[in-house]
Amino acid sequence: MWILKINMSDKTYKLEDVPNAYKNLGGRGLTSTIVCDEVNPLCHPLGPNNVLVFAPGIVTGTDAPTSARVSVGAKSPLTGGIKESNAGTSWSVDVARMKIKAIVVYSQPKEDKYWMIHISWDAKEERPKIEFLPADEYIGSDLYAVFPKIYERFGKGISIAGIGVAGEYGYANSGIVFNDLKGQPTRYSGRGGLGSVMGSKRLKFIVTSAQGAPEVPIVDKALFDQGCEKLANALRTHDITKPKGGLNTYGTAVLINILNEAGGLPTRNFKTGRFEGAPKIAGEAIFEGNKTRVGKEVYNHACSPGCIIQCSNTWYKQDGREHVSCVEYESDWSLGANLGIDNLDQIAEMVRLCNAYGLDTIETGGTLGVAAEAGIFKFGDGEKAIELIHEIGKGTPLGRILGSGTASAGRVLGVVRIPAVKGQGMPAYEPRAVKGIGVTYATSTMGADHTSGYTINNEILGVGGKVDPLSPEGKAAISRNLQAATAFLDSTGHCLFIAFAILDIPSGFEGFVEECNGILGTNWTAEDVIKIGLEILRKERAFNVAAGLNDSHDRMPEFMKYEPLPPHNHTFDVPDEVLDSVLKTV
Amino acid sequence: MKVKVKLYAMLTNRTKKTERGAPVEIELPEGESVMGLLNRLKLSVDEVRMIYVNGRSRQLDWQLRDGDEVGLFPPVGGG
Ligand code: SF4
Repeated sequence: MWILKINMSDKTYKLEDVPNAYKNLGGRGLTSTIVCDEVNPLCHPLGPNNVLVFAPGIVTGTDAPTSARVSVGAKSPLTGGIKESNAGTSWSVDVARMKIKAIVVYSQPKEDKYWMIHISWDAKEERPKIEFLPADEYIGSDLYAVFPKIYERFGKGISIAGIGVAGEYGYANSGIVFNDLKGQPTRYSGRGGLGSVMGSKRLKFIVTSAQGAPEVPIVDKALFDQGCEKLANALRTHDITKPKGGLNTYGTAVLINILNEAGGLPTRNFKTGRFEGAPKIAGEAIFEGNKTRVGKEVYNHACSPGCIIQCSNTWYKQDGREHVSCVEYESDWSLGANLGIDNLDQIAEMVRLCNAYGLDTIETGGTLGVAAEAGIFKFGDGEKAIELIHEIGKGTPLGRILGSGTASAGRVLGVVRIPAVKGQGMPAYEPRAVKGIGVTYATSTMGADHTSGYTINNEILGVGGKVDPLSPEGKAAISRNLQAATAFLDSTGHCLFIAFAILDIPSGFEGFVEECNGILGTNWTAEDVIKIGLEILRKERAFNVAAGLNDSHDRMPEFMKYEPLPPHNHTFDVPDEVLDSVLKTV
Repeated sequence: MKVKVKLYAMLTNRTKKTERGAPVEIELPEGESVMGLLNRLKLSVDEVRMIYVNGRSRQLDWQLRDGDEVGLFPPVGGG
């Protein structure tokens, strides 16, 4: 296995053997370790000294189910701290199969020209072949128009990682895009502005062609196979993850009605916890709407090869043609309930525009929320919201302000109610109604990030035990444990959604660990999962502290402490000392 | 007493009684529990993972009161 080091200042590369210290790492564990080892925490995220790291997970590229994730890491232009954001895509499978454990992109060219890199498998030399190609012709365009050109140029079997105009403009709200199984630009490492880091290096695309590449090496194949089977069985039997189960039928947007019922669906820029239009935009409405428009029940599809859960939906237009994939819960909320918009066609169009321009849907909805609060447009005005996303894509002066994300735009526009932590806009769960997720938002090394310690499992969904969402009791421990387990899970290359099954089904969890042991020849146990996870969090937190993010940044926005949230009229009442007990001492 | 019940996701397919999420009024004996309500709706305990009464998460033995709003969900998850 190799580490591929790309130097954009002179367009050269090195293929280095994986150092011993990195041998058992993958995904987030590897991106965060490399960022800690190589990046000066005080560097400017868009300057020459930041590095951008791509790493498939430990089991990615194998037969392990639901494991085609890639982690992307760097110092974040949005939070000023460390960032890992992951996506599911065939691209990660290609990279893993070409025996590349990580791609590390350094520096930036002197001249203002964009480049793309093509990585293919050289069967004769038995190693990847790297080419640098000019990419200026693809700049400034809609990604839905550009992706087909790349496929035409390199052939159908390729995969693509890249940026849209948001990354070219240097927006703190810009994601890194990957292809889905239809070759569309829809799978995003969206959070934290990593697209602009790639743009600052003048790297537009990394195209992979893994034809002829070998299998990923496995130390103990029997153990690995046993692990895969146990995990696959758990995924196939759990109600949430099984075929035609909750995720496959209704997609992640099934959560809209649940959070609404629980009074924790942030509405109109976090003013209330209930949205009267929730039933119209919920996963159930997507399923029913598609049934009417397409004339039959449409179940969801996989974002990447080898996924059993298959949670990715498509929204269809009136005439039955595809509008966009995928309307996730997060996007449905951020561009729907958070803006007071209850029209699925408008929400779908906004998701499509975010995909086309290279924007993170969560950050875009969060930013439009503070813009509406500031009177730039009216809550509920979907047409105007769509226009504003076009402004972001065109780079008008207002568009550039909105492209800077929720916290920066809110500050520029004089807004007090800014739902963000460490500069990152909050996702779709109200911390005043679901306290544990607030603990995760406040203390996560990533800024406000639900995926990094998904207490919703216990607080709302009754997965892995049930606790009262409105109570602050015991939430520090739940959040810490989940943050640690997630840091490990994000390192394996599995999609976080396997958690629903493995938290409830012990043999699934065993299988998950056995897969890793099979690949690496390690003897990890359930305890090691937490230990390794905590070690990753320790590194990430140390980076953040050195970058100037201290305890005072592990806090909820002030308004959540004095503004009670209807309908339960709670404030965020987890004491600061409790927040400090979560990760500070790990 | 009367309570309003909202069924979500697959639960509506199961009972064929209501439109998803639309509240239906149901007449119950005074002091009936959530369990009793499920029995009347012919829903089994395994089918219902989340129970909300007036926006608060409750257990099967929770006693309902006149005018309560009940939301029932099967096991579902998302992100
Ligand atoms: S569960 Fe959904 S997001 Fe995760 S890998 Fe499968 S399709 Fe992709």
